[in-house]
Amino acid sequence: MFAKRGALVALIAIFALVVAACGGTSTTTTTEASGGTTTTEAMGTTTTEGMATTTTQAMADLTGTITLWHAWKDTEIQSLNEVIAGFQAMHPNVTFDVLYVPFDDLQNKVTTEWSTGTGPAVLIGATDWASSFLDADLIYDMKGLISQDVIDTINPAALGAVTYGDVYAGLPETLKGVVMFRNKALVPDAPATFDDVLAAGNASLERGFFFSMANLVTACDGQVADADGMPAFNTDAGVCWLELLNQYPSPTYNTDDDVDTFKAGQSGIIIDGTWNIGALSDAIGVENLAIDAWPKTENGAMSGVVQTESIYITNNTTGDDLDAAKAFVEYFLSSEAQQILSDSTKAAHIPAVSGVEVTDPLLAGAVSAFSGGIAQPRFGGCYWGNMDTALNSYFGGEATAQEALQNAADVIGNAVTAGECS
Amino acid sequence: MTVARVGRRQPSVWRRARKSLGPWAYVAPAGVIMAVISFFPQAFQIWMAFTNFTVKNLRFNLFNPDTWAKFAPSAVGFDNFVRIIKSDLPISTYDFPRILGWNLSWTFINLIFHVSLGIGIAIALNSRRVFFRRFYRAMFVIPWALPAYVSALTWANMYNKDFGAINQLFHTNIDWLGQGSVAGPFGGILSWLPWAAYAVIIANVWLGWPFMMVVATGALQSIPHELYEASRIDGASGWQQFRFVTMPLIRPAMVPAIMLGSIWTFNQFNVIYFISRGGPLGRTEILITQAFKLVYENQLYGVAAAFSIVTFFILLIITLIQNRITRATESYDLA
Repeated sequence: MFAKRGALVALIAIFALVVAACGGTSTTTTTEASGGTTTTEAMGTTTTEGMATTTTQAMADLTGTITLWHAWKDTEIQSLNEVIAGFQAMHPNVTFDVLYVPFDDLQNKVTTEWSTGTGPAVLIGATDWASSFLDADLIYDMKGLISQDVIDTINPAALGAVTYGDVYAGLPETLKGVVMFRNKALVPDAPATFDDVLAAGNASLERGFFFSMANLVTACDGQVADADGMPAFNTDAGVCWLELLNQYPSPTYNTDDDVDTFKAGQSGIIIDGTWNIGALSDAIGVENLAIDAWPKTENGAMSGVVQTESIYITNNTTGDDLDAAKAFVEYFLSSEAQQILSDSTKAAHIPAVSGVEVTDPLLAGAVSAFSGGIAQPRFGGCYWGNMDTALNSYFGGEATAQEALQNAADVIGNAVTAGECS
Repeated sequence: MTVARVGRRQPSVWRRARKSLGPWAYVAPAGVIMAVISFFPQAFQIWMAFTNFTVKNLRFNLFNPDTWAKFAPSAVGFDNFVRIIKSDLPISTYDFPRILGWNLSWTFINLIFHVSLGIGIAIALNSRRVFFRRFYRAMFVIPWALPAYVSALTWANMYNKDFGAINQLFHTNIDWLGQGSVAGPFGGILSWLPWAAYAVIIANVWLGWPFMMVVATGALQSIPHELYEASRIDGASGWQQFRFVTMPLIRPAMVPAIMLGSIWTFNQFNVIYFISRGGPLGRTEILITQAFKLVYENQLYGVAAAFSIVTFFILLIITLIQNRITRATESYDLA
């Protein structure tokens, strides 16, 4: 009898252990209504203490958990935590489960998770992933889901980047882009022309496809793809573009080596993304960092792509979690949150909504440089790898400019025709 | 004897099934779990290989009929296999014969170094004249004991042109992992190997020989010392002792290890992906990294499933040939 009871107790204990173990490894934490807020990330716990609690309007209307994935780095994460804290101050019963995923892994990871009904409720990611998400029926149309008043504040051009027919596939939350950074201590004067860049002697310029494609349009009067998504770069303009890139001093290729040399004070000019503003100003001092207007070339000007980054809600999300996610997206696009994100010492994001003033000289420089750039063309994912191959094979001497471009155009064209290029 | 056999009736199938109910009951839970976690995914993958499954079909759920009409992929027969063999995929750097050729060369070159270094160092450390040999054995196992991707990332950093330890140590400026040029350090018959090929081979040799050393050490320690004494008395030289005593006696241990090593090396994803990423221009791509990219970068799930099946059959053929040559699964008669 005693043995049977013991066995029963042991079974219950084992069952309890199994249930506890299977209870998920969620890193969700609960907001403390009268104290600071805590957000937890997969890579460790970040605590944001002492947020203003006196202004908290304890709106206990919303509950649920917002699982949020992003690929933001370093200083951007500080700003994200502040935004989350600001939201939780208004909605203390909403909890967050925030996960950083490296950018290169994010799209694939979220696609596979969403397709099986798991993954984040809210994603912050590249705008050009939207077509793939739409194809796979993974996201909500933001039209009708998010208040029209909020949508009306979004920069129309940025909104155009997420508009697919009648559908808003995500909403743009920031403008980002490729710009030319200069270390004023090494290169005191902004280069006005490409020859000035060459004369500066210590430029380390990034010529990966993403970083260089805008020059095809502005310096060589060409285009990457036509309105149907078919390749349009295999022209004389394309050759002009590759020849321009071939003149880059100390070229780098899709690595952070240029960023590292710039941070170390070994190069005076680099081409990189505005997402590195915070890290670069930390490294060389904000007083030494400048973002310049694009230099003139023989037939036009150098430039970079201007892109938006979007915030998405998956259509797996329902109930309280969906209500919380909608409220969070609306807060994320509010002038209050956008002001936090535009702090040039942290995220340094350029707001995608009206009503947020950009006064910081660096951000103002970026906005000015954006006016000389081009909006990122909307084309399928099969462009990226194949265009990088074309550039590499030309720079490596494996093919002439014409051969490299034609080969890429053939492969991409076939993929577009076969519908394998979403 | 014959009469006895004829006279004994075989029990009926039903009777035999009833008698084996107990064993079946024991095996059933494991069998069901195996069916769910192993056989079903494989069967599903085989089915995918004959469809045009892409990101548009991700919502397809075999167990949810509501998803069938909207998300089911179309059957394409052997089209995926034909495209793989004919190098007709939307990837500029994809060339099936070249990838297979490099994959086989990569496996062969690595195995030669793994086995020769492993056996050589095991023999050296088996000598009683070596001081601290236990310490050395422990040290030499570290590359094998470390997670392969950690080692691979460390090597990738070491190969960095501007900041890497190798260029700094040797005061060189070699672009080991340069993505543009396929030029290598040597001409002639080695001209097809870019710098990155040497980089990944060096890293994988470092990573792979300790396993062979451990296996060889175990086999060496089981050889009776008297055999060497007897051979010395018979006038055998050092080489002859190795050839006629050591080699035959470590062979039963080494052959399965070499077969295992060849499969591991053939599928050595970590070193290729994390060090060279298959570059420059796909010249160091192996089948397993290409399969991964088909899923991860191109999201061509049907093609990737077919690719995995092709890879499986290539490995199966290699293993059968190895088995035939080495008689690895036959028993050894040392007498």
